[in-house]
Amino acid sequence: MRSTDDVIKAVLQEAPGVVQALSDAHGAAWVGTDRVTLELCRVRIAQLLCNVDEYASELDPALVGAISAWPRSEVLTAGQHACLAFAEEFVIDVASLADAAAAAVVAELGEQGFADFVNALLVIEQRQRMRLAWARLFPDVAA
Amino acid sequence: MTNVELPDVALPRNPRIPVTVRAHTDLRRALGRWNTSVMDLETLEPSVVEAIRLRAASHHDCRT
Repeated sequence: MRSTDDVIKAVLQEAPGVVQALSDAHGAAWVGTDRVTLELCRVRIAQLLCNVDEYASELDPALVGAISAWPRSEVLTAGQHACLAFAEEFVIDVASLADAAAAAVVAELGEQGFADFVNALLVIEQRQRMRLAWARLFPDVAA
Repeated sequence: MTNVELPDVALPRNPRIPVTVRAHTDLRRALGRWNTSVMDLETLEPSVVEAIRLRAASHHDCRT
């Protein structure tokens, strides 16, 4: 199984500028946001999109096991709950994202943390959607 | 430039955080380079790219 990075490079081999920009954005996404929280959201996005190639995680198995039923989980922090709730709405229907979901993240991370988190979420979500689309369009390259 | 009228939406469109609060510099600049590099792809018809950009802008309105 190819990593998402490898799939991006393979599909966009004739557009190295885009590949570099995507790589830079991905690297920067993990800097401004708590890495564990963002990783939880990455896996949750994979679950929602049935992106089986991104199900795996190096997080503590107890955390990973809690992701799919996060609303009832007691091992996740309040901030992680807020971010996962936001991430789900972001993936399912971003244009209808509830103010309460955003306010809960702001309450946990602050305004700057919220801005960083949302932009990071955009990056990790878009990478997954691209991978899924390319797997359909270019199965020989993206598989 | 033609103004594009966005569809009516039920939700308010007030920013959720002050517009002066932006993602950290490295991420913001990287996202900008990503956007620019895609828009500059020579194999894409500019009008098609712009139509897709506008469609995405109206859909992906998280007001952040």
